[in-house]
Amino acid sequence: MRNWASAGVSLMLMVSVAACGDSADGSSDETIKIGVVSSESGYAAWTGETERRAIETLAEQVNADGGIDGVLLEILFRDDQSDPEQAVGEARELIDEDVVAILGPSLTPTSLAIEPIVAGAEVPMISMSGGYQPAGSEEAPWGWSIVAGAGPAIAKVLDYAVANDLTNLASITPTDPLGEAGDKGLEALLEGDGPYAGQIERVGHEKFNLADIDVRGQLQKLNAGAPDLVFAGVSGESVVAIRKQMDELGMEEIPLATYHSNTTPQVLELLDGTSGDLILPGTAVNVASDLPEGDQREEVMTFVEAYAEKTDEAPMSTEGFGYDALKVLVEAMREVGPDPAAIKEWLDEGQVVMGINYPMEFSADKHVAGGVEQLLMMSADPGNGWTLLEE
Amino acid sequence: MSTQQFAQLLISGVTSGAIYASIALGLNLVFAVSKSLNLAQGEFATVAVLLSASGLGLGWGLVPSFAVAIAVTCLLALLVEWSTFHVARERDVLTRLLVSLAGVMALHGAFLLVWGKSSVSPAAIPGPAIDLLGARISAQAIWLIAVVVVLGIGVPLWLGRSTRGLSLRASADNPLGARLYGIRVQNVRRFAFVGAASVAAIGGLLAAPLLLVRYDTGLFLTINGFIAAVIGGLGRPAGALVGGLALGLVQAFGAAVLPGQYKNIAIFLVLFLIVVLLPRLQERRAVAA
Repeated sequence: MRNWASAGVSLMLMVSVAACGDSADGSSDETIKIGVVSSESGYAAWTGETERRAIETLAEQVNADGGIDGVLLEILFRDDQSDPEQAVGEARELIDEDVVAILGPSLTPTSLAIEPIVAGAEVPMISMSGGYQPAGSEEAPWGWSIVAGAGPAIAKVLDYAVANDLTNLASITPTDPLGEAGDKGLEALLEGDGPYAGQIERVGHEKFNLADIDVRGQLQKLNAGAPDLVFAGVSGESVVAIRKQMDELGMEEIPLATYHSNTTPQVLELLDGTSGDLILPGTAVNVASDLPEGDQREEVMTFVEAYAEKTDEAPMSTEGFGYDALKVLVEAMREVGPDPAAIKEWLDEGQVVMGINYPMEFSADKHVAGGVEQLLMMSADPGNGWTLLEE
Repeated sequence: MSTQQFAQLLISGVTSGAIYASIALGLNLVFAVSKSLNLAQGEFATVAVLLSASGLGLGWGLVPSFAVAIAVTCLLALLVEWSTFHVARERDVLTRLLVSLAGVMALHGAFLLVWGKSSVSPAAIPGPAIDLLGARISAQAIWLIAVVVVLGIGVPLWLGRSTRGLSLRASADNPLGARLYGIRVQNVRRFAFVGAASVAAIGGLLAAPLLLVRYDTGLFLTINGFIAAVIGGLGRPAGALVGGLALGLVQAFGAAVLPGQYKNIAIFLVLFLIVVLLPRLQERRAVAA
C-alpha cells in the first residue's frame, strides 16, 4: 500500500517536473526544426560536407529575412557516415525530435534505407541522391529527390555523343546502387527499343569495386573495343582515377563522360596534371557567369556571392543539391506552413520551384526535380571551373 | 587476346605489383624482427604522399618535398614502433595485432584532421612513355618498377651480408641469445621500422601519381601488401618482390579473364591455394615419403 502511495507521489512529481520543463523550455517551440541526414564522413564524405555548407548558407539567408512568418529555421545536421544502417538510426532520432522534414540523404543506399521510416512517420524526405528516383506519390508517398537521376544524365550524354558523332560508346560503372542505376539507364536507352538503339553502339561495358583503386584491367578491355567516348557512371573522386588510368594506358584522346555530381572543386583540382578531358551534364550553378539574365541568374548569383563570402569557394552542383532541397521546403512552408502533411499535399498539387541547379518541377506523378531538358553539357577546365559546351 | 593486350596487362600487373612489393618488403622486415604484423605499414606510404603533396603545395620543389616526407615518415615509424610494438612487446600475438590495428585507426583520425577527406594526386614525373610490343608504359611506372626491383633485391642481399642484417636476423630468431651477444633488440626493431617506413614511403611517392591517395588509402595497401608478403613467404624480405609481382599479375590477368568486379576473387583463390592447399600437399608428400 505504501509502495503504491509512494509510486503515485513519484508519478505526480514526474508529471509536474515535465510540465515545468515544457513551459521553461518554451524556446524550442519558437523554431522550425528541419533534419538533415547526409554523408559527412565515410566514402562519400565530400557530398555531406558541401551540402551542409550550402544548406547553412540558405538557412542563414532565410533567417536573416525573418524566417518563415517570423519563426526561425533550426537545422539539425546528422552524419550517416555513408552507411545505410547509420542513416536509419539518425532519421529515427530526427523524427523523434519532431522535424518538419528530412533533407537528404546524400546517397542512394542511405535514401532507400530511410524511405520506409519517413513513410511510417509521414515526414517528407527530400533526397539529394541521383540514384534515388521515386516515380511519384503512389510508389513513394513521402520521398522526393531534387537531383536529376542517372537516366536523364545519361540521355544528355548520349544526345551529345550523337551530335558529335561519338557513336562507339564504352561504359564503366561501380558495383553500388548508383552503378546499378547507371546500368539500367544505359540498357533502357541503348538496347532493344531504346531511343538511342541504332544510333550509338555500345562497344564495351565493365564494372569495378569502389574500394579498388586500380581499374586498368577494366579500361584495357574497354580500349580493345576502340570506343569514341567512355562513360563512367560514378560519383566522386574515382572518376579522376579513371581519367588518370585512361591517360596512362594511351587513351588520353578519348573523352570521358560522367555525372553532374562530379562538378566538385576536388575533382577539378585532381584533374590538374591529367589530360583533363572530362565532360558531363552539369547544372546552372556550375556556369553561373554564362547564364542569360533572368530569375535563375539572379537566384544563382545571390547564392554564389553568399557562398563565396562564407567559404571562399565557388559552389558546384553538389552545393546546389543542398540548397535546392532546402529551397523546396522553404517555398512549401511559405505557402502552407511547417506542416508535413500540408507540404506533401502542396507538392503533389503540382509546383515549379526555382533552384540554383534548375527550375524544379513536382507533381503527384513526379517526385524527381530535374530532367534532360534542364541539364547543360559542359567540359572541365582543370583547376579553374567548367565551360559550357555548344549544344 | 592480342600481343598488345597481353603486353599491356603485363605492364599493369608489374606496376601494381611493384606497389604491393614495397609494402610487403616493409611488412616482412618488421615481421622478421618482431614476429608481429605492422598493420600501419600502408599508412607509412599514405603519410609520405600526403606530406609530399603539402610540400609541393607550399612550393618546396620535388626533391625537398620528397626528402622531408621520407624523413617525417621515418620519425612517425619510430613513434608507431614505440606506441604499438614496444609497449605491447610482452603481450600475446592477438593483443599485439589489436594494438597495431588501434594504431592504424588513430593514424587515420590524425590524417583526417590534418589533410581532410579529399584525395591528393601529385603530378607524374615528366618523361616519354615507352612502347613495349605495342603497349605503353609511362615514365612514372618505369621509375616505380625500377626502384622497387632494386630495393626488393638489394635490401635482402644487404641483410644477408652486413653485420646489421645479421643482427636483425639474430634478434628475430633468438632475442635472448642476441641480447647475450650484446645486440640491443629494441634498437634493431627500431631500425627495421625505419627501413620499412623508408621503403613504403619511396614506393608510395613513386606510385602516387598513378593513383589517388587519401587519409584511408593505407589500409588497402596494407591488405594487398600482406597478401603479397604471404605469397612470397611472410617474414622473408627476399620474397616480397616475387609476392608483390605475382599478386599484381594475378590481379591484372584476373581482371582480363573475370568480370572486373570479381577480379579480387582470383587473388583470394591464389591465396587459398598457397595458404591452405600447398601446406597440405607438402604434408601428404612428407607422409608418403
